[in-house]
Amino acid sequence: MAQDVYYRYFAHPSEIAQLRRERMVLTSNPNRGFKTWYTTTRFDDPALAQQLLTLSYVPEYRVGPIRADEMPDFDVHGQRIVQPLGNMPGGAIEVCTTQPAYLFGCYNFPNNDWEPL
Amino acid sequence: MIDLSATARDLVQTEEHFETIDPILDLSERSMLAIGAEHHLRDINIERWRWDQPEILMSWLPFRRETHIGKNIRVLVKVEQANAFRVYFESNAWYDERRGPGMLIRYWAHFPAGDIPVDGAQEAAQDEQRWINKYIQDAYGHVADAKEVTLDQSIIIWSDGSTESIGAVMSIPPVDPEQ
Repeated sequence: MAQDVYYRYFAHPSEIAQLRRERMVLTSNPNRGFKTWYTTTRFDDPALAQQLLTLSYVPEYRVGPIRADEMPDFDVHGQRIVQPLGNMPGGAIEVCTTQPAYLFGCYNFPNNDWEPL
Repeated sequence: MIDLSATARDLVQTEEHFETIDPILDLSERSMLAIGAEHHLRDINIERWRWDQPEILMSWLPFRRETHIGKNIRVLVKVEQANAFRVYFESNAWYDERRGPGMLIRYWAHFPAGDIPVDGAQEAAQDEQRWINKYIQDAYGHVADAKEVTLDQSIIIWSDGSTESIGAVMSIPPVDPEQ
């Protein structure tokens, strides 16, 4: 049986900087233990992602797919359906974790930087 | 309709105020918990900063164990300028109908309940608490369990994220407090 994959959508400038620097997916918001949300849906239209995830911002970035077995434990909540908010319907699946997910990469220790692949 | 969408500038300002917004959410949570206790709301869940949004959300199930029917109140904070914020209040109700695997029909209603300015989140206290109480009370009034709520919007959502609007309307009946 195929396993789930997860995507994260975001727009905060510090989060994309962190992702490029560390190949690590984690919110840049320190409040409430770095809770980081993901969804199972791949949206190609950011406006649709905004509607079904009920975001007050249009996401600028999508990271994923990350296979379920490469995701951290969902220690805040597992899969649930997004509630309607802000006159948007919600309806996508979301999960939440406080742990980072690490993306594949090749780090060059002498150069102290990631190798382009 | 109030436009609550955030611009790139809003996002940068929100990042700069990640920690200073939290006291406003503290005041809101206090008020939400009071509403929950006053009205004996069931299965209350409160969470903040969903998807990094400067918000606090309280949801509950008006009918015990019936997770396809829900109601919520949200408080969303926008940074207007350094140490000056605007706080928006709203409530929502919904009913989910599953039609086979991968198809969800969602009926919902959205009720804006107003907004207030708050200067200096760290100092937000007594005066703001009074206003926040009032607006959260108003937000609850739109979706109160004791009244019938008409869900005037509806949409089909497929598991691949595609959607289709439908013009269906339905109602959530009032809750019998003895139920």
